[in-house]
Amino acid sequence: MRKRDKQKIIFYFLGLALFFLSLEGFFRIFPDIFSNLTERVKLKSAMYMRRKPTPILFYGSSRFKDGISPKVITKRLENTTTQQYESFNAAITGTDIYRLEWFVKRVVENKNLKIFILEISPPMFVEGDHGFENKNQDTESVEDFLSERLKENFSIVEWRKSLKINILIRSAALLGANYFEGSELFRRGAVSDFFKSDKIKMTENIKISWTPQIIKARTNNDAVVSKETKLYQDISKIMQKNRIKLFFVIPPLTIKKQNEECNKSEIEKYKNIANATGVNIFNFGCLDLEEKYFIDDSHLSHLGRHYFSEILAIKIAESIL
Amino acid sequence: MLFNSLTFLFLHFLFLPLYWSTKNQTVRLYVLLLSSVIFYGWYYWPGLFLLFAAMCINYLLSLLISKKQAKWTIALAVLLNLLNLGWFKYSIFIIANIESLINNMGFQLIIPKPDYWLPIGISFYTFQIMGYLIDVYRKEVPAEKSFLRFAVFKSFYAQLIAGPIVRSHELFPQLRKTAVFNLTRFQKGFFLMTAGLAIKICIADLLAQFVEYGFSNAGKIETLRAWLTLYSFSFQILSDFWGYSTVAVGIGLMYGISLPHNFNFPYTAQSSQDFWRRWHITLSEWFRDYLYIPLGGNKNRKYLNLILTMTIAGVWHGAGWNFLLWGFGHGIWLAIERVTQSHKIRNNSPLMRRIRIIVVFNIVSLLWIFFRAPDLNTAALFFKNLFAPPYVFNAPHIESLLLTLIIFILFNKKLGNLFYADHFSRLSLKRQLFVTIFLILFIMGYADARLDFIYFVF
Repeated sequence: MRKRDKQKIIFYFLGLALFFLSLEGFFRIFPDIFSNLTERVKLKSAMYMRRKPTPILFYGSSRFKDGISPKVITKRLENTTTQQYESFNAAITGTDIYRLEWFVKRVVENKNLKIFILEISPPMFVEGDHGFENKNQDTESVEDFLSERLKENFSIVEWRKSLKINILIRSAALLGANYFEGSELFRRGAVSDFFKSDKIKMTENIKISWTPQIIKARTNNDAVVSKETKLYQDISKIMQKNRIKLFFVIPPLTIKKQNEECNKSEIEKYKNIANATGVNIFNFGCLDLEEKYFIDDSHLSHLGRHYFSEILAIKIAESIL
Repeated sequence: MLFNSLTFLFLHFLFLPLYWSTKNQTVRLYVLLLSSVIFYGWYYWPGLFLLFAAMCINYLLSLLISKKQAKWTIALAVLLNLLNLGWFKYSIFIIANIESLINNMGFQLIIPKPDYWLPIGISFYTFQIMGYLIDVYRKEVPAEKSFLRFAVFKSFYAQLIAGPIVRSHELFPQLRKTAVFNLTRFQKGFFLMTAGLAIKICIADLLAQFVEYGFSNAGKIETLRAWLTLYSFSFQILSDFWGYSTVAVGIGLMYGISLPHNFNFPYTAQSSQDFWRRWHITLSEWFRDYLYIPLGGNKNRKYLNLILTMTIAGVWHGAGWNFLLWGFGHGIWLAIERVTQSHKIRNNSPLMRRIRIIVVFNIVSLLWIFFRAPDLNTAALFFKNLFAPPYVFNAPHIESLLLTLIIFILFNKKLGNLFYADHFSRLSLKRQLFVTIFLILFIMGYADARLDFIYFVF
């Protein structure tokens, strides 16, 4: 073996070691950046915190992510109130109660937040695994033990999910947070929707068919306290303390899906939340809506998103005015 | 133990310095044996008893064959190995079919089924050892006298579970001589291990999610999704097995042992024959040398031999009618090619070459349905999705699937070339570093699911 070849291979392994040590150093210096890039909920909260003052914020599951267009809401609010109200859609696919809790605690730090619209639906009550914060990991097997030790000692391992190829999209989203409305990222049909016209007219009939039912909060509070009720109760208190107006919204569903989710037991659960928090719930989940408004049983199409956003904007405007 | 696990990487990099720290070949073989035992036993330790028993019996059989050179000795050896394989892999399938046949005739019968586990890699190590025993009988190789060397030949962890099926004349000479540490081979081994893991984790495991959805919803999915699921599985199984084989070759090189490559861009094949010369090469060669040629090869009943060999190859992959049909389908296709002489390429213009590649890829993909579907009913439903109306060419969430497929095609072409000969070593230092860093970052980012390798169960 020639000396030059030998040197080249030694430099190869040294180069690898040097690169990964430098990367480790970089991760240790800027842990927040990489932490925010690892998780959808962290990315959305970081985007929101970086944005210009945005008083209206939405959070929910993929149903909200697909269903709400901040552009439509801002435009409608501008027409109704003659003022510019920026809004941001922070809903994510695969949310759970831990992510919701984490998100709420984080975003109330933003003093510009005035209106928080939160989804209520079964996906919001899913119990996550706390995995996104690398906590409560099962460490019974050797594999888990090794994984935990590596995470503890190397930031590059702890925040390794930020190394996925979508880091490019996520970094761009974070840097250009002001230019995103929040719902473009990884939303199905986002690309094709971009080319669709937004000149959709809302007639009086459509407005009637989209008018939500209201689940009113009763003052004589006899709510059964379940885990999810307690969480929504805590959120309500946090919002009151920070003088943020809170809305609860049940997103629209197809008639087929309503058999599962618009039944007595689910409605009871929602009533409980309304009673425990003292906040009325806008229920779009039991409306008799046409199939054309949906791309599947629980996610809105381009048209459905437009109408849903318009109606929400009207409700928000009523509360502002 | 999975190659794509931290435990494996930890143990591998623990045993490597131990191996190279001594120049005593016997000690090195003990290190290899110990590491292989831990590797195999980690998955399911009682499996070690079967492995050890098979090791001892086959060692004694090889000595007996070498001494007697009688037909009964090799017949006994092959029979014992097939019985071992048959009992663990096929008995439940056979009993269930007999039971169903008798019940269909109007009799009520419940046959008790044996309750045991399927030893991982049993098909691979059984075939490897049968090949060796036949070679000894044919006097192509001498019977190995050292039990230690024989044990390492049978259990070397790089190829124990999912191949490549290494021939005795390839591995024994390397186990006999004391290898000198070679930095170039070590570097290439490291690169191949990294690249193999990247292919498995970043391509196969990503595509697995789409494929799983498509097949578990067979009969309900849209036409476009069905076709994309089909192509995804074609790439998933290639990436999974190619990734595994590449890691195996890499591990071997890091120990100074050369193992044969199992793949050579199979989806660029221009005929069925060409495909089998590029896909799972060591298995194809095994079937050619130990089954097809002894059956008569091209001399007698060649079409029947082809169909029979491929059908048995299908059953080798799994106990089920779907695997049998998959192999039978390939056998029929090979036979048709021979009848029509279409495996002989006459017009080699770029256009014709591309057309042939597309046709072969599509036939291979359609046959994969039998391989992937859990049963014939699901396979039939999937075919219905592909070809029967209503034809729906809109399906949600397909953008990311298309993106993954495009990444695979780029990966396959650019990266795959570096696996062979000394293409990687000839790259400039900058490029070597760039490629390796890129792959390691990919692995770190995507190493979540730790899915089993598909071929582990064969």
